Amino acid sequence: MVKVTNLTKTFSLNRKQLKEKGIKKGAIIAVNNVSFEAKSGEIFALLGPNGAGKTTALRCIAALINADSGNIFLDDINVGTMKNEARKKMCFLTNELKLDDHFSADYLFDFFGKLHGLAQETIDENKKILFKEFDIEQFKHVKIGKMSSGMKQKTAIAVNLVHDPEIIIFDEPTNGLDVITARAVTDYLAKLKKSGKTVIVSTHIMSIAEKMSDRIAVIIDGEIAINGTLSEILDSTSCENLDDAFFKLYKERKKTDE
Amino acid sequence: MNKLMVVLKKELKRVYSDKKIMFNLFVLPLISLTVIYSALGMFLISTITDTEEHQSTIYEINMPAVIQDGLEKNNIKVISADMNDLEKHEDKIKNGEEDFMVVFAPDFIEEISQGVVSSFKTYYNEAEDYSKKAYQQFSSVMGQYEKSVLAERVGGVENLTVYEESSVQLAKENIFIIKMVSGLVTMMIVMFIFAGSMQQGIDMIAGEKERGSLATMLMTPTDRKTLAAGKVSGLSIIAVFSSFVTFIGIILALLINKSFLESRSQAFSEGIDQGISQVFKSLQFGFDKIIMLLILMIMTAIISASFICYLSSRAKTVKEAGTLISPFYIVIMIAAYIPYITQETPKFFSYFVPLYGNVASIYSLIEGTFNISSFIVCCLMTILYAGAFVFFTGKSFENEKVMF
Ligand SMILES: Nc1ncnc2c1ncn2[C@@H]1O[C@H](COP(=O)(O)OP(=O)(O)O)[C@@H](O)[C@H]1O
Ligand SMILES: [Mg+2]
Repeated sequence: MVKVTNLTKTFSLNRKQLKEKGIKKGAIIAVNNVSFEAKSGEIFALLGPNGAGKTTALRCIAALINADSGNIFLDDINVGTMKNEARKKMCFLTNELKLDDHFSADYLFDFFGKLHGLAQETIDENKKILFKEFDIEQFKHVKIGKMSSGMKQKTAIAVNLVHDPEIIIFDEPTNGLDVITARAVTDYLAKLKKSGKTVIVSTHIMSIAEKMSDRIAVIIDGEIAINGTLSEILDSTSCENLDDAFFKLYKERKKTDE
Repeated sequence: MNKLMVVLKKELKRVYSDKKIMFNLFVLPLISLTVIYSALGMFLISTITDTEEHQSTIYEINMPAVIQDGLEKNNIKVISADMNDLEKHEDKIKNGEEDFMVVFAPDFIEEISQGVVSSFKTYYNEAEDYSKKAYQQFSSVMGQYEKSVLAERVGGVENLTVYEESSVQLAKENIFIIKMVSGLVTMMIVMFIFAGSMQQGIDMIAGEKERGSLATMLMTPTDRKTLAAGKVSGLSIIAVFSSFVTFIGIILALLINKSFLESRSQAFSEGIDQGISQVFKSLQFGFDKIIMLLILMIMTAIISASFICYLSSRAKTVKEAGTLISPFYIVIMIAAYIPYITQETPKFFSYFVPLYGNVASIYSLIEGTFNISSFIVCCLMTILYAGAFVFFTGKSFENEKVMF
C-alpha cells in the first residue's frame, strides 16, 4: 500500500526556464497538495497531460527527490525519513533509468542484487523467474550496448525487479516501447497486481489508464482533479468515456485559472 | 563495506574487459613515455654538445703566422679574407652564418717587437653560441701570445706567474636547463596520471549520469557515500595502475639511456660544466629516489582520481564534466613549470596545496631539492584531501539538484 498525503514539490526555475518566461527569479509548483492511496492488489494510474507533475510525484514516492511537504507512507515506512528501507520495498521504472552499456544482463542482475543486499541464492532464484518472464535467458550474456531497444527495456525492467519489490512504480510504462514489448510489460503488471503487489503507473494515454487500472487519479497542473474508479469518475462527470471526462475536467480547470 | 567492494569490482571490470580502454590506459603511456624520454635525452645531448663539437671558423686579415699556428693547434679553422669583403663578413656574422672575424694592424708583429702598442679589431656576435665560442677560443690564444711576448720582454715566464686561477662555473643557463628538464619530466608524469583518470572518471560518473545508469544505482538501498567511495576507489586503483605503467615507462627509458646518461654526466663533470652534468645526474634515479617517486606517483593518482570524481559528480553531462575538468589538466601541466618560470624551488607551503603540492613534490624530487618532511606532508595531505573529495562526491549524489 502507498499512501500519499498533501504532497507538495516546488522547483526553483533553472536558467533556461527563466529565459523562456523572461523573468529573473521564479519557482514552479510541480506537485500541489496531492493526496491518494494505492492499495495492494491494485493498479493505480496517475493520468495527466505532459508537465502535469506525474514524474515529479513518482520521484518523490521513489525517494529520488525530497518533497517540500506532505507525507508518503509505504505501509508503515515513512519515505521521507527511511529512504533505504523504502528502497528495499519498491522499484521505480521509467525509460530514463537505464543500464550501463558495457555489461551483460546476467552481470547487472547480480550487481544490482548485491547492491540490494541479497544473497546469491535469492538473486539466482529471482533471475530464473524474471529472465524467463521477459525472454532474456538466450541473450543474457550479450552486452546491453549490443541489444535492440526492446531487449534493453526488458532487461532494465527485470534488473530493477531483482529484489522482488512489494511496490512497483512505473512512469509512463509504454513510452518508447515497441508494441510487443509494451504488451509484455502491461501483461506483467497485471500479473504483479494479481499476486498482491501494489502497482502505480503514470500515463498521458487514456486507453492505458482505462484498460489497465483499477483506480485513476487525474492530475492537471500539479493538482488532483478527480480520484476514483473508472465508473466513479464517469458518474461524477456524467460522461460516457474517460476521454470526455478528462477533457471536461481539463476545461473546467483552465476556466478557474482565468 | 561489502557494497563498496561490489561497486569497486564493477568499475574495475568495466576497464579490464574493454580492450580499447586497456590500450589507452596501459599500453599507450608505456610506449609514448619510453619514446619521449629517450628522445628527450637525445635532444638535450644534441643541443648541448652541438656547440661543443662545432669547429670554429675564423676569417682573418693580416694575421701573424704565430697566432694562426696557435689557433690551428686548437682545432680552429683559419681562412684569409679580403679587405673588400669586410662588410660581407660583418653581415654574415650578424646573421649567425659565420662565427668570427679579426683584422690585425698590417705590421702587428713589427710594432710589438719595437715595443709599440699595436692593435687588432674583432667582429663577433654575442647572441650566437658559435660566435661566442670562437671569440672565447681566440681570446685564449691571444692571451697566451700576450703572455709569451711579456715573458720575452722581462725574461722568464716564472716571473710573470703571480697567481694560479681555478674556477667553478655556476652559469645561470645551466640552472635554467635543470629546471626546464625537471619541469618537463614532471609534466610528463603528472600528465599521464591525470589524463588516465580523467577519461575514466568522467565516464564513470558524469557518463553514467547522462546515460541514466547512475539513477538506477541510486534506486538501490545503497548509502550514497559508499557509492562514491566505491567509484573513487575504483578510479584510484585504475589511476595507480596507470601511474605504475608510467613509472615502468620511465624506468625502461632510463635503462635504455643508462650508459649514455652516465657517460655524459661523467664527461661534463670532468669538464667545466658542473651544471650540465647535474642535469644528466637528475635524469638518472637512485634506488631510494625511485621508491619515493613511485609513492609520490601513487599519491598523485589518488588525489587526481578523487578530485576528478568530485568534479564529475557536479556535472550533468560528459561535456559539462569535460569543461569543468580540462582547465585543471592544463593547470597541473603549468604547475610542473612554475619552478622554471619563477626560477625558484617550490616553497614548503606548496606541499599543502592539493594537486599542486603533488606536482611540486615530484618536481623537487627530480630536481634534487626534495626533503623527507615535505614528502610526509605531501602524502598526509593527499590522503586528507582525497577523503574530503569522497565525502563531497557522496554529497553530490544526495543532492537532487545535481542528480535530476
Ligand atoms: N528538476 C526540475 N527543475 C525545474 N523544473 C522541473 C524539474 N522537474 C520538473 N520540472 C517542472 O515541473 C513540472 C512537472 O514536470 P513533470 O513532473 O516532469 O511532469 P509530467 O511527468 O507530468 O510530464 C513541469 O513544468 C516541469 O517543467
Ligand atoms: Mg513525465
